[in-house]
Amino acid sequence: MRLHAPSRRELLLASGTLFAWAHLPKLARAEGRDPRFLTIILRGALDGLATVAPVGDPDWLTLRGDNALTLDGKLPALKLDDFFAVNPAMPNLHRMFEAREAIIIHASATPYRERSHFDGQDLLESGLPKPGASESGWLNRVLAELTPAGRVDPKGGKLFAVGPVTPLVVRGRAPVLSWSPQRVLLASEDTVRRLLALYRDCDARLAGVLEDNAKLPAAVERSGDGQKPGVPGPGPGPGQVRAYFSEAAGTAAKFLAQPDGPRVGALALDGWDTHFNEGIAQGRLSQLLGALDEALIAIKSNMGPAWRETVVALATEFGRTARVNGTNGTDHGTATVAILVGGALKGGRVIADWPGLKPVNLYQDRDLKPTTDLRAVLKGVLRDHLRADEKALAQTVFPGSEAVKPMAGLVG
Amino acid sequence: MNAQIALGAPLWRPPAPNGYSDNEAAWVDGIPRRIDIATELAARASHCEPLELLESGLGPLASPQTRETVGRAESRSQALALLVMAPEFLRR
Repeated sequence: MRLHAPSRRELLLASGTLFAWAHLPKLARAEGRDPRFLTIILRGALDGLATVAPVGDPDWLTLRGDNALTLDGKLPALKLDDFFAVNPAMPNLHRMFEAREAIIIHASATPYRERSHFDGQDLLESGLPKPGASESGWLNRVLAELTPAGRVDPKGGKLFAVGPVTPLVVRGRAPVLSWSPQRVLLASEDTVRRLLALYRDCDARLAGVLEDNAKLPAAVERSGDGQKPGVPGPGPGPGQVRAYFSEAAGTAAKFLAQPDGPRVGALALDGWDTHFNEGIAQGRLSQLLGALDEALIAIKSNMGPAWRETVVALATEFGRTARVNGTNGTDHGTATVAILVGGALKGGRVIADWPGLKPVNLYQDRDLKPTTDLRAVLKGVLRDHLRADEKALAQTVFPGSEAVKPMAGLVG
Repeated sequence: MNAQIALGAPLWRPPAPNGYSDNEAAWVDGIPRRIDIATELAARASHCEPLELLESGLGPLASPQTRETVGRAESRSQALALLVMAPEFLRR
């Protein structure tokens, strides 16, 4: 296990690949602290209402009906406070919350208000207030602002300036290292399903082949340990996704925990675009959230004593529609949850200026209304945890965000 | 190279003296494998703009359904995988 210049194979697999700064932050170390910061980008738009449900909102059941998580359902949601409860697939996040090591920021969003994944991800990663070409990401720009104190020992690897193939959030002039999981994550069931829909519309022959092949040995062989024998689906099974998420996040933590290892890193975990058969309590989203939950506990255990000085920020490009659509899924929305975990947090809180769920409260009568700017959360963590300069945060890291004050009191 | 072998077309070693098969049955059963390979290749090209590639690669040949499928992908890398697996791309 070593960090190094990305090989060709690693560039193949941007999902799950850790990208980490090659230096240690000087200011925080001068204070005798040694903070760790990991960002996890959840690509595809996470359903915030299915992840942390507002079970105390009187309009919740009307809004989501049978798909609403409740405290007394067959699979009861796990209570966070008098108003919110977390998806039952996330017991580890619940335990971290109770141990004051997790903060949920609900009804939060980037400044993006349209519904394109590509533009939404660009905005989330670039830190710019509007979509448009950006050559660098906010995490790289904050690194460029931090004074480096000594270099990371890449365990024999070499330092390098990354090419244009890394995720936007870490692109820029600060040098970063990379590491990719050993296991290969094959095409997801979601990709296969999208292709099948296209083939059914346009090419019956290809549709027939894909339908037949989804049940053939190639699919059986990679159906994974989490799937029932006899019902192999296409793509990796839930067991494989769990193993992949845990390996990616767990190894990131191992690097960040090393005395001479990196202190700041980023990775992306894909698959959150749940238009069809979302499976909130049981099914696809539940399995993905379960995989994410195991990734969180892998981070905590692999951090060891460094967990006390750790903040992990999980963010997605936008949320999903407040109501469920005609195919038991949700479409592109606006506000969602951001999740912070780590021993350095003043945790055990859901932070939300709750907008309400009545039709009149919804953004465009359709989405959870954004009431917290995600940049305030990230700026708060970067300022108080990494000691990033507030003026730099407002001008170069998140340009034009002077009016978005860093959220105080998240850390320490 | 491994991808080529998986697809039944190892470099320099065609399966028969008359070369690689160009009849449909010879490749069409490899579709699931192709999807996996397309997924890997697409992740490598993360800086690529899928909708621009659709215009330059297929242009007027692209069906409205393919345009919609590519445009609605959850990420650029998924969009690229879907684009190279679109019927127009496979059959042209």
